[in-house]
Amino acid sequence: MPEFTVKVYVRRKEGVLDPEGNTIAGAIASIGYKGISSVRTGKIFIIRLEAPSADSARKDMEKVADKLLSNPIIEDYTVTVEQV
Amino acid sequence: MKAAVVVFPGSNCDRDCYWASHNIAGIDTVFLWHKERYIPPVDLVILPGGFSYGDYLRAGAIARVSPIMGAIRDFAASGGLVLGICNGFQILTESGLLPGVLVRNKSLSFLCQYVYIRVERNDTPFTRGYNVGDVLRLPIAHNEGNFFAPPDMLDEIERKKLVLFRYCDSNGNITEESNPNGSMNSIAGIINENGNILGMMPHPERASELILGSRDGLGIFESLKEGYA
Repeated sequence: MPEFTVKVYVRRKEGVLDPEGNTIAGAIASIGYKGISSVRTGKIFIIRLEAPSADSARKDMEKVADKLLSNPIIEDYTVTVEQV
Repeated sequence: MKAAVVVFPGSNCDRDCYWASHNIAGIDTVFLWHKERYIPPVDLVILPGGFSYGDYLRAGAIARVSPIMGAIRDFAASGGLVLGICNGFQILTESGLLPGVLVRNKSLSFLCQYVYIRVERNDTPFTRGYNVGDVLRLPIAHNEGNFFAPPDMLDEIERKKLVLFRYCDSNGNITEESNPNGSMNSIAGIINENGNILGMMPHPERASELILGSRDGLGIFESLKEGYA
């Protein structure tokens, strides 16, 4: 079976407070970079797996993102798939 | 009454909960390892505080998929009493057994301090020994205790009167200054609609005898016991 690298990007939904992002925005300004309007933080999960097709790898990992990697109350995610 | 305290890898309030429940309140209590798939015949399951699975992914997110959680879901569905304290509350929201989610404290700091909370209802098995409006002094110790729910969910929580405890000042007033972690509507603890599952961030087990500095939390264990006397 072909092998794939699936990347799951999990981030806070729009409108959900991101105090860590706000603090980082302040820190970026403090090292001299102006004009930062916002920073949103998140996580990337890089998953390697064997699957019959890219489509099936994506569908499975979307379920994993729904059930475990994200909390749908506060987070959104996007998934990308690349064949290894 | 019989109780079981669930032990996850990383739980660190399991023995405190056992002590408060068994030795102080006099509830016949046992430990229950998270890999068990069955719950012994008990009336109450306690999910203790700590850092189950190192808080990896999100606080409570990995514990949610522990083998014991399936049994706890069935136990709760059949009316069994479940008390989740601190990390236990986070596990209950991650499991969907309680609404909302506990996110990082607004201050981004770990908070370890005494707080005051106000009892909002005493028609529950957890609070029957208190009066509505009673102010309890209990410790908190958490990094993710900031209760969040989307507007519709928050409205529903308030409409159905699921809030059991709110952070307050020493006189019972709900103020911004008395809200330690930024929780919406100063929520410190909520129950489910059926009234058999409670999640709370403050630690009643750490305030269950005078030598600990407060015994305001003992009433929760006593309320539970009284209901089965």
